[in-house]
Amino acid sequence: MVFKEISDFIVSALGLTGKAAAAVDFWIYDTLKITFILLLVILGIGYLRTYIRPEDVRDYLQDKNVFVGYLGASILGIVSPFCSCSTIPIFLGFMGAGVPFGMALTFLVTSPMINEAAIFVLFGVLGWKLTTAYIVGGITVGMVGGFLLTKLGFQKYAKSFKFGDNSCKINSTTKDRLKQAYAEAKDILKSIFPYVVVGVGIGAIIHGFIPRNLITKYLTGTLAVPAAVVVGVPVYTNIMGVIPVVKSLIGKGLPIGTSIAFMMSVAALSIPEFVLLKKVMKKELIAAYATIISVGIITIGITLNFLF
Amino acid sequence: MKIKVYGSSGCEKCSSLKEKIEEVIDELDNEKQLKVEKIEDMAEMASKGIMSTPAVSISGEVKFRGRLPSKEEIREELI
Repeated sequence: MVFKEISDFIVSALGLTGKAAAAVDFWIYDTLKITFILLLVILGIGYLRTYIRPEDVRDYLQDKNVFVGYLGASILGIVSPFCSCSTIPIFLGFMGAGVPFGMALTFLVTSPMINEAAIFVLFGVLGWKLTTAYIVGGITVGMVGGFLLTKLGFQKYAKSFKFGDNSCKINSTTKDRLKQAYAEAKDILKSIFPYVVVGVGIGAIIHGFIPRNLITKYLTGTLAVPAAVVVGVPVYTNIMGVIPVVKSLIGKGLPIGTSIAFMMSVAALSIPEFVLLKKVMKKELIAAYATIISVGIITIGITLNFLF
Repeated sequence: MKIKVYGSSGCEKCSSLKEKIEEVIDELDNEKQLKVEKIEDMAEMASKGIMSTPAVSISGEVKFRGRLPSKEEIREELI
């Protein structure tokens, strides 16, 4: 790929050698590659998304059997917009229209954890095996989490809202849709780009300077999985910033399950997310939500470490 | 005429839409004394049936939702 040539050229132009060269090379190459993939995917999906209206999905989910409904809700979580600020109104819309509580929760859990752009970037950066594990793991945590929270009777801790109706029409011409996709892509890239640069920077430092045996010695045990989840919660960043860090950690010998657990907990559990959820849930439900997701992520991490 | 822009805190598109509407109002010399208000309250959004943000209501009626309208579209609604 041309990105490799660009980064090689810059590294040699700077006259760097050894560890510094490896770090700078990683930084430039991965920043270019991730930005390029993001641009394509966000534009493409942004366009397709203009055809998916949350109102239609809500109607679709209302009378589905349990498995199909939960699976549908988690897939919808994948293609839903990036910011959890925009998933909460959808969650409320689901609840208001009588979509089962568990399915609405599954949507809410999956949405920040897996998104379509992350899938493509992960695939480009880390290969299909890890990407598949990530998707299947995320969907499983989302579905089981939503299902369990319902079975345990947590629905009563969701705040109730009156959901109204409006007859507002939505745009329909191709030009309109393209314009929407472009505006959205510009917006998303602008907000994600700093995370990518910083994330790749941290990845580059790990790649160039952290000795391999430091990671293989301390971070390969089973206990490292819950530790990765605990470390991931206060880290609040976009998943795009985590992927390059995880890439270099895996390169240094961090087990795949531990890596994925870290990535998921950074994306799915964060203090700002809880603050947002506080507006629609009581604290009992938020605590149960956080606990079940953490346990789910840890289980997935340990299982993947065992499998790979 | 009251204009409301719906979008929770943290939704960058929503804040930029509010600014865009204010620009249009300025360009129209604001003869109708228009005021734009940003609504971040989830309950109010829900009561208007809004699932996708940003959304805009003018005099209580939802005119746009889930997308960024162009300046021309906004102007048409305001005249």
